Amino acid sequence: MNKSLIALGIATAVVSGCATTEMPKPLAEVEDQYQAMSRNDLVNRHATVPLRAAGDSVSEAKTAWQEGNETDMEHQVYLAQKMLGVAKYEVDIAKMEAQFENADMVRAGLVLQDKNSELAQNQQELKMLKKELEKMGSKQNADTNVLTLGDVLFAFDDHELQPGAKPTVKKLADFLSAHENTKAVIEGYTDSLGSEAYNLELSKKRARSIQNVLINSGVASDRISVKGYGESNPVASNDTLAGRQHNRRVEVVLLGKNEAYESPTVASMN
Amino acid sequence: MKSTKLFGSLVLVTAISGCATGNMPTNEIAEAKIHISTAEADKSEQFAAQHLTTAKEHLGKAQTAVDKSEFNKARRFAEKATADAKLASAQARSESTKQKLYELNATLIQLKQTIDQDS
Repeated sequence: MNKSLIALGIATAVVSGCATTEMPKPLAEVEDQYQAMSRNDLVNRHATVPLRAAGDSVSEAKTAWQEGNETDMEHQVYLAQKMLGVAKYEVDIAKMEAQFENADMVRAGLVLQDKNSELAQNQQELKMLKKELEKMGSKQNADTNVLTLGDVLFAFDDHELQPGAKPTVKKLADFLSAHENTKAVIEGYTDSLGSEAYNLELSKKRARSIQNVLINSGVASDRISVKGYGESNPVASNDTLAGRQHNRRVEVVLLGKNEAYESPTVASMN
Repeated sequence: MKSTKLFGSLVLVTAISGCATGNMPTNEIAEAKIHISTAEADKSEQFAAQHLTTAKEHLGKAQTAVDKSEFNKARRFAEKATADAKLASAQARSESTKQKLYELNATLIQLKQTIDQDS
Protein backbone atom coordinates (compact mmCIF):
# COMPACT_ATOMS: atom_id res chain seq x y z
CA MET A 1 0.00 0.00 0.00
CA ASN A 2 2.68 2.33 1.11
CA LYS A 3 4.92 1.19 -1.71
CA SER A 4 2.36 1.73 -4.39
CA LEU A 5 1.62 5.19 -3.04
CA ILE A 6 5.28 6.07 -3.44
CA ALA A 7 5.28 4.60 -6.93
CA LEU A 8 2.26 6.69 -7.81
CA GLY A 9 3.96 9.72 -6.39
CA ILE A 10 7.03 9.07 -8.51
CA ALA A 11 4.93 8.45 -11.58
CA THR A 12 3.05 11.69 -11.01
CA ALA A 13 6.27 13.52 -10.52
CA VAL A 14 7.65 12.09 -13.74
CA VAL A 15 4.51 12.86 -15.72
CA SER A 16 4.00 16.32 -14.35
CA GLY A 17 7.72 16.91 -14.71
CA CYS A 18 7.43 16.27 -18.44
CA ALA A 19 4.23 18.19 -18.84
CA THR A 20 5.42 21.31 -17.10
CA THR A 21 8.85 21.39 -18.75
CA GLU A 22 8.49 24.43 -20.92
CA MET A 23 10.51 25.00 -24.02
CA PRO A 24 13.75 26.78 -23.08
CA LYS A 25 13.35 30.51 -23.45
CA PRO A 26 15.91 31.08 -26.26
CA LEU A 27 14.32 28.31 -28.32
CA ALA A 28 10.80 29.61 -27.70
CA GLU A 29 11.88 33.12 -28.65
CA VAL A 30 13.65 32.16 -31.83
CA GLU A 31 10.66 30.04 -32.84
CA ASP A 32 8.30 32.98 -32.27
CA GLN A 33 10.52 35.24 -34.33
CA TYR A 34 10.71 32.65 -37.06
CA GLN A 35 6.93 32.26 -37.11
CA ALA A 36 6.42 36.00 -37.26
CA MET A 37 8.93 36.45 -40.08
CA SER A 38 7.61 33.55 -42.11
CA ARG A 39 4.22 35.32 -42.17
CA ASN A 40 5.85 38.46 -43.60
CA ASP A 41 5.51 38.91 -47.34
CA LEU A 42 8.72 40.87 -47.78
CA VAL A 43 10.73 38.25 -45.92
CA ASN A 44 9.26 35.49 -48.05
CA ARG A 45 10.00 37.40 -51.22
CA HIS A 46 13.49 38.72 -50.48
CA ALA A 47 14.97 36.37 -47.87
CA THR A 48 13.78 32.91 -48.91
CA VAL A 49 17.12 31.17 -48.33
CA PRO A 50 17.97 32.45 -44.83
CA LEU A 51 14.33 32.06 -43.76
CA ARG A 52 14.33 28.42 -44.80
CA ALA A 53 17.69 27.83 -43.08
CA ALA A 54 16.31 29.40 -39.89
CA GLY A 55 13.23 27.16 -40.09
CA ASP A 56 15.40 24.05 -40.49
CA SER A 57 17.49 25.05 -37.48
CA VAL A 58 14.39 25.71 -35.37
CA SER A 59 13.07 22.21 -36.19
CA GLU A 60 16.42 20.61 -35.41
CA ALA A 61 16.66 22.56 -32.16
CA LYS A 62 13.23 21.29 -31.11
CA THR A 63 14.15 17.71 -31.95
CA ALA A 64 17.40 18.05 -30.01
CA TRP A 65 15.50 19.49 -27.06
CA GLN A 66 12.98 16.61 -27.12
CA GLU A 67 15.90 14.19 -27.19
CA GLY A 68 17.49 15.98 -24.26
CA ASN A 69 20.49 17.00 -26.34
CA GLU A 70 21.14 20.45 -24.95
CA THR A 71 24.37 21.06 -26.85
CA ASP A 72 22.75 20.51 -30.24
CA MET A 73 19.69 22.48 -29.21
CA GLU A 74 21.76 25.52 -28.23
CA HIS A 75 23.81 25.15 -31.39
CA GLN A 76 20.74 25.12 -33.65
CA VAL A 77 19.20 28.05 -31.76
CA TYR A 78 22.40 30.01 -32.43
CA LEU A 79 22.28 29.18 -36.14
CA ALA A 80 18.58 30.08 -36.34
CA GLN A 81 19.19 33.45 -34.68
CA LYS A 82 21.94 34.30 -37.15
CA MET A 83 19.84 33.26 -40.15
CA LEU A 84 16.91 35.39 -38.98
CA GLY A 85 19.37 38.26 -38.69
CA VAL A 86 20.48 37.65 -42.27
CA ALA A 87 16.82 37.61 -43.36
CA LYS A 88 16.20 41.01 -41.71
CA TYR A 89 19.19 42.54 -43.51
CA GLU A 90 18.09 41.07 -46.84
CA VAL A 91 14.71 42.74 -46.42
CA ASP A 92 16.39 46.05 -45.54
CA ILE A 93 18.54 45.78 -48.66
CA ALA A 94 15.52 45.05 -50.85
CA LYS A 95 13.67 48.06 -49.41
CA MET A 96 16.64 50.33 -50.07
CA GLU A 97 17.00 49.03 -53.60
CA ALA A 98 13.40 50.02 -54.20
CA GLN A 99 14.34 53.50 -53.03
CA PHE A 100 17.20 53.54 -55.52
CA GLU A 101 14.76 52.92 -58.35
CA ASN A 102 12.56 55.63 -56.94
CA ALA A 103 15.53 57.98 -56.73
CA ASP A 104 16.30 57.31 -60.40
CA MET A 105 12.79 58.44 -61.25
CA VAL A 106 13.05 61.49 -59.04
CA ARG A 107 16.29 62.42 -60.74
CA ALA A 108 14.80 61.92 -64.19
CA GLY A 109 11.87 64.08 -63.15
CA LEU A 110 14.12 66.83 -61.88
CA VAL A 111 16.21 66.82 -65.04
CA LEU A 112 13.07 66.96 -67.17
CA GLN A 113 11.68 69.80 -65.08
CA ASP A 114 14.99 71.62 -65.50
CA LYS A 115 15.00 71.08 -69.25
CA ASN A 116 11.37 72.10 -69.57
CA SER A 117 11.75 75.31 -67.65
CA GLU A 118 14.93 76.15 -69.57
CA LEU A 119 13.23 75.41 -72.87
CA ALA A 120 10.04 77.21 -71.92
CA GLN A 121 11.97 80.29 -70.96
CA ASN A 122 14.18 80.18 -74.03
CA GLN A 123 11.27 79.62 -76.33
CA GLN A 124 9.49 82.68 -75.04
CA GLU A 125 12.58 84.77 -75.66
CA LEU A 126 13.17 83.17 -79.03
CA LYS A 127 9.63 83.98 -80.12
CA MET A 128 10.19 87.61 -79.28
CA LEU A 129 13.54 87.61 -81.01
CA LYS A 130 11.98 86.12 -84.11
CA LYS A 131 9.28 88.79 -84.08
CA GLU A 132 11.89 91.50 -83.92
CA LEU A 133 13.91 89.95 -86.71
CA GLU A 134 10.77 89.72 -88.79
CA LYS A 135 10.17 93.43 -88.22
CA MET A 136 13.74 94.09 -89.36
CA GLY A 137 12.95 92.42 -92.65
CA SER A 138 13.93 88.79 -92.18
CA LYS A 139 11.07 86.39 -92.78
CA GLN A 140 11.02 83.65 -90.12
CA ASN A 141 10.02 80.01 -90.46
CA ALA A 142 8.01 77.96 -87.99
CA ASP A 143 10.94 76.30 -86.17
CA THR A 144 11.31 77.93 -82.80
CA ASN A 145 15.01 77.32 -82.51
CA VAL A 146 15.89 78.54 -86.02
CA LEU A 147 16.42 82.23 -86.63
CA THR A 148 16.47 83.44 -90.20
CA LEU A 149 18.56 86.41 -91.18
CA GLY A 150 17.32 87.59 -94.54
CA ASP A 151 19.27 88.71 -97.58
CA VAL A 152 18.90 92.33 -96.56
CA LEU A 153 22.11 91.74 -94.63
CA PHE A 154 24.22 91.23 -97.73
CA ALA A 155 24.63 93.07 -101.01
CA PHE A 156 24.09 91.04 -104.18
CA ASP A 157 26.89 88.55 -104.76
CA ASP A 158 28.75 89.80 -101.71
CA HIS A 159 29.52 88.21 -98.39
CA GLU A 160 30.36 91.38 -96.49
CA LEU A 161 27.65 92.49 -94.12
CA GLN A 162 25.85 95.68 -95.03
CA PRO A 163 26.13 98.46 -92.44
CA GLY A 164 22.37 98.25 -91.87
CA ALA A 165 22.70 94.62 -90.83
CA LYS A 166 24.36 95.47 -87.54
CA PRO A 167 21.23 95.81 -85.34
CA THR A 168 19.94 92.45 -86.58
CA VAL A 169 23.17 90.61 -85.80
CA LYS A 170 23.42 92.42 -82.49
CA LYS A 171 20.06 90.94 -81.47
CA LEU A 172 21.54 87.52 -82.06
CA ALA A 173 24.75 88.35 -80.20
CA ASP A 174 22.75 89.60 -77.23
CA PHE A 175 20.72 86.44 -77.13
CA LEU A 176 23.82 84.23 -77.23
CA SER A 177 25.51 86.31 -74.54
CA ALA A 178 22.46 85.95 -72.31
CA HIS A 179 22.30 82.18 -72.80
CA GLU A 180 25.73 80.80 -72.10
CA ASN A 181 24.57 77.22 -72.58
CA THR A 182 23.30 77.81 -76.07
CA LYS A 183 25.35 76.99 -79.13
CA ALA A 184 24.68 78.27 -82.60
CA VAL A 185 25.16 76.69 -85.99
CA ILE A 186 25.12 79.28 -88.74
CA GLU A 187 23.90 77.94 -92.06
CA GLY A 188 24.40 79.95 -95.23
CA TYR A 189 22.05 79.57 -98.21
CA THR A 190 21.87 81.15 -101.67
CA ASP A 191 19.40 81.16 -104.53
CA SER A 192 19.94 78.96 -107.55
CA LEU A 193 21.50 81.59 -109.80
CA GLY A 194 25.14 80.87 -110.58
CA SER A 195 27.06 77.62 -110.31
CA GLU A 196 26.49 75.25 -107.44
CA ALA A 197 30.13 75.31 -106.34
CA TYR A 198 30.21 79.09 -106.37
CA ASN A 199 27.01 79.28 -104.34
CA LEU A 200 28.33 76.79 -101.81
CA GLU A 201 31.40 78.95 -101.30
CA LEU A 202 29.37 82.17 -101.14
CA SER A 203 26.95 80.71 -98.60
CA LYS A 204 29.81 79.64 -96.38
CA LYS A 205 31.48 83.04 -96.60
CA ARG A 206 28.23 84.74 -95.62
CA ALA A 207 27.81 82.45 -92.63
CA ARG A 208 31.41 83.22 -91.63
CA SER A 209 30.74 86.96 -91.80
CA ILE A 210 28.01 86.55 -89.23
CA GLN A 211 30.26 84.33 -87.14
CA ASN A 212 32.97 86.98 -87.13
CA VAL A 213 30.60 89.67 -85.96
CA LEU A 214 29.38 87.42 -83.16
CA ILE A 215 32.92 86.58 -82.05
CA ASN A 216 33.80 90.29 -82.12
CA SER A 217 30.76 90.89 -79.92
CA GLY A 218 32.27 88.59 -77.32
CA VAL A 219 30.61 85.24 -78.05
CA ALA A 220 33.10 82.39 -77.56
CA SER A 221 34.19 81.00 -80.92
CA ASP A 222 33.64 77.38 -79.88
CA ARG A 223 29.94 78.10 -79.47
CA ILE A 224 29.46 79.05 -83.10
CA SER A 225 30.02 76.78 -86.06
CA VAL A 226 29.48 77.47 -89.72
CA LYS A 227 27.92 75.50 -92.58
CA GLY A 228 27.51 76.47 -96.21
CA TYR A 229 24.59 74.80 -97.99
CA GLY A 230 24.59 76.85 -101.20
CA GLU A 231 21.39 76.61 -103.17
CA SER A 232 20.10 73.48 -101.40
CA ASN A 233 17.04 73.56 -99.15
CA PRO A 234 15.30 76.51 -100.77
CA VAL A 235 12.42 77.93 -98.74
CA ALA A 236 10.72 79.38 -101.79
CA SER A 237 10.64 78.95 -105.55
CA ASN A 238 13.77 80.05 -107.40
CA ASP A 239 11.64 80.99 -110.42
CA THR A 240 10.57 84.34 -109.04
CA LEU A 241 12.49 87.33 -107.81
CA ALA A 242 10.68 87.32 -104.46
CA GLY A 243 11.27 83.59 -104.06
CA ARG A 244 14.98 83.92 -104.77
CA GLN A 245 15.19 86.73 -102.25
CA HIS A 246 13.79 84.42 -99.59
CA ASN A 247 16.23 81.73 -100.52
CA ARG A 248 19.23 84.01 -100.05
CA ARG A 249 19.46 83.83 -96.31
CA VAL A 250 21.41 82.80 -93.24
CA GLU A 251 19.73 80.51 -90.76
CA VAL A 252 20.93 80.33 -87.20
CA VAL A 253 20.14 77.04 -85.49
CA LEU A 254 20.22 77.43 -81.73
CA LEU A 255 21.10 74.34 -79.72
CA GLY A 256 20.63 73.70 -76.02
CA LYS A 257 23.32 72.24 -73.78
CA ASN A 258 22.69 68.63 -74.75
CA GLU A 259 21.22 69.02 -78.18
CA ALA A 260 23.07 67.75 -81.22
CA TYR A 261 23.09 69.49 -84.57
CA GLU A 262 21.22 67.81 -87.37
CA SER A 263 21.90 68.79 -90.94
CA PRO A 264 18.80 70.06 -92.67
CA THR A 265 17.21 67.46 -94.88
CA VAL A 266 17.45 68.38 -98.51
CA ALA A 267 14.07 69.78 -99.42
CA SER A 268 12.29 68.60 -102.52
CA MET A 269 11.41 72.07 -103.77
CA ASN A 270 14.07 72.15 -106.47
CA MET B 1 52.89 -5.60 -13.96
CA LYS B 2 52.39 -6.61 -17.50
CA SER B 3 48.65 -6.56 -17.23
CA THR B 4 48.56 -3.09 -15.67
CA LYS B 5 50.56 -1.75 -18.63
CA LEU B 6 48.19 -3.42 -21.01
CA PHE B 7 45.25 -2.03 -19.11
CA GLY B 8 46.80 1.45 -19.14
CA SER B 9 47.32 1.45 -22.89
CA LEU B 10 43.81 0.15 -23.33
CA VAL B 11 42.47 3.08 -21.34
CA LEU B 12 44.56 5.47 -23.45
CA VAL B 13 43.27 3.99 -26.73
CA THR B 14 39.72 4.26 -25.48
CA ALA B 15 40.30 7.80 -24.39
CA ILE B 16 41.62 8.82 -27.81
CA SER B 17 38.98 7.00 -29.80
CA GLY B 18 36.41 8.32 -27.36
CA CYS B 19 37.35 11.86 -28.18
CA ALA B 20 37.52 11.26 -31.92
CA THR B 21 33.77 11.49 -32.34
CA GLY B 22 32.28 11.53 -35.83
CA ASN B 23 34.16 12.43 -38.98
CA MET B 24 36.52 15.25 -39.61
CA PRO B 25 34.33 18.26 -40.63
CA THR B 26 36.45 19.12 -43.66
CA ASN B 27 33.54 20.48 -45.71
CA GLU B 28 32.14 22.57 -42.87
CA ILE B 29 35.51 24.19 -42.24
CA ALA B 30 36.04 24.85 -45.95
CA GLU B 31 32.56 26.38 -46.14
CA ALA B 32 33.26 28.63 -43.17
CA LYS B 33 36.47 29.87 -44.80
CA ILE B 34 34.65 30.65 -48.05
CA HIS B 35 31.93 32.59 -46.28
CA ILE B 36 34.49 34.53 -44.26
CA SER B 37 36.27 35.58 -47.48
CA THR B 38 32.92 36.57 -48.99
CA ALA B 39 32.14 38.64 -45.91
CA GLU B 40 35.51 40.33 -46.22
CA ALA B 41 34.87 41.04 -49.89
CA ASP B 42 31.56 42.61 -48.85
CA LYS B 43 33.54 45.08 -46.70
CA SER B 44 32.38 43.58 -43.43
CA GLU B 45 35.63 44.69 -41.80
CA GLN B 46 34.31 48.21 -42.26
CA PHE B 47 30.58 47.64 -41.82
CA ALA B 48 30.14 44.48 -39.72
CA ALA B 49 33.35 44.09 -37.73
CA GLN B 50 31.69 42.43 -34.75
CA HIS B 51 30.16 39.54 -36.67
CA LEU B 52 33.29 39.06 -38.76
CA THR B 53 35.42 38.80 -35.61
CA THR B 54 33.03 36.28 -34.11
CA ALA B 55 33.15 34.24 -37.32
CA LYS B 56 36.93 34.15 -37.23
CA GLU B 57 36.96 33.21 -33.55
CA HIS B 58 34.58 30.34 -34.21
CA LEU B 59 36.69 29.16 -37.12
CA GLY B 60 39.78 29.25 -34.87
CA LYS B 61 37.95 27.21 -32.23
CA ALA B 62 36.86 24.73 -34.91
CA GLN B 63 40.47 24.24 -35.96
CA THR B 64 41.61 23.83 -32.36
CA ALA B 65 38.90 21.20 -31.88
CA VAL B 66 40.07 19.41 -35.01
CA ASP B 67 43.60 19.33 -33.60
CA LYS B 68 42.19 17.65 -30.50
CA SER B 69 40.18 15.30 -32.72
CA GLU B 70 36.96 16.68 -31.23
CA PHE B 71 35.20 16.49 -34.53
CA ASN B 72 31.60 17.06 -33.44
CA LYS B 73 32.64 20.13 -31.51
CA ALA B 74 34.68 21.26 -34.49
CA ARG B 75 31.71 20.83 -36.79
CA ARG B 76 29.51 22.97 -34.56
CA PHE B 77 32.11 25.74 -34.40
CA ALA B 78 32.57 25.64 -38.16
CA GLU B 79 28.81 25.86 -38.67
CA LYS B 80 28.64 28.79 -36.27
CA ALA B 81 31.48 30.50 -38.14
CA THR B 82 29.55 30.10 -41.41
CA ALA B 83 26.40 31.57 -39.86
CA ASP B 84 28.38 34.49 -38.37
CA ALA B 85 30.07 35.16 -41.71
CA LYS B 86 26.74 35.15 -43.56
CA LEU B 87 25.36 37.61 -41.03
CA ALA B 88 28.47 39.79 -41.41
CA SER B 89 28.02 39.78 -45.20
CA ALA B 90 24.36 40.72 -44.99
CA GLN B 91 24.98 43.50 -42.50
CA ALA B 92 27.88 44.87 -44.54
CA ARG B 93 25.85 44.87 -47.75
CA SER B 94 22.99 46.53 -45.95
CA GLU B 95 25.23 49.23 -44.48
CA SER B 96 27.02 49.99 -47.73
CA THR B 97 23.68 50.17 -49.56
CA LYS B 98 22.47 52.56 -46.88
CA GLN B 99 25.54 54.72 -47.44
CA LYS B 100 25.06 54.76 -51.21
CA LEU B 101 21.43 55.70 -50.76
CA TYR B 102 22.42 58.50 -48.44
CA GLU B 103 24.92 59.81 -51.01
CA LEU B 104 22.32 59.53 -53.76
CA ASN B 105 19.79 61.50 -51.75
CA ALA B 106 22.40 64.17 -51.09
CA THR B 107 23.04 64.41 -54.84
CA LEU B 108 19.33 64.71 -55.53
CA ILE B 109 18.94 67.48 -52.99
CA GLN B 110 21.89 69.28 -54.54
CA LEU B 111 20.42 68.83 -58.03
CA LYS B 112 17.09 70.19 -56.87
CA GLN B 113 18.76 73.21 -55.28
CA THR B 114 20.69 73.93 -58.48
CA ILE B 115 17.50 73.75 -60.50
CA ASP B 116 15.59 75.96 -58.09
CA GLN B 117 18.36 78.52 -58.28
CA ASP B 118 18.41 78.45 -62.08
CA SER B 119 14.71 78.94 -62.53
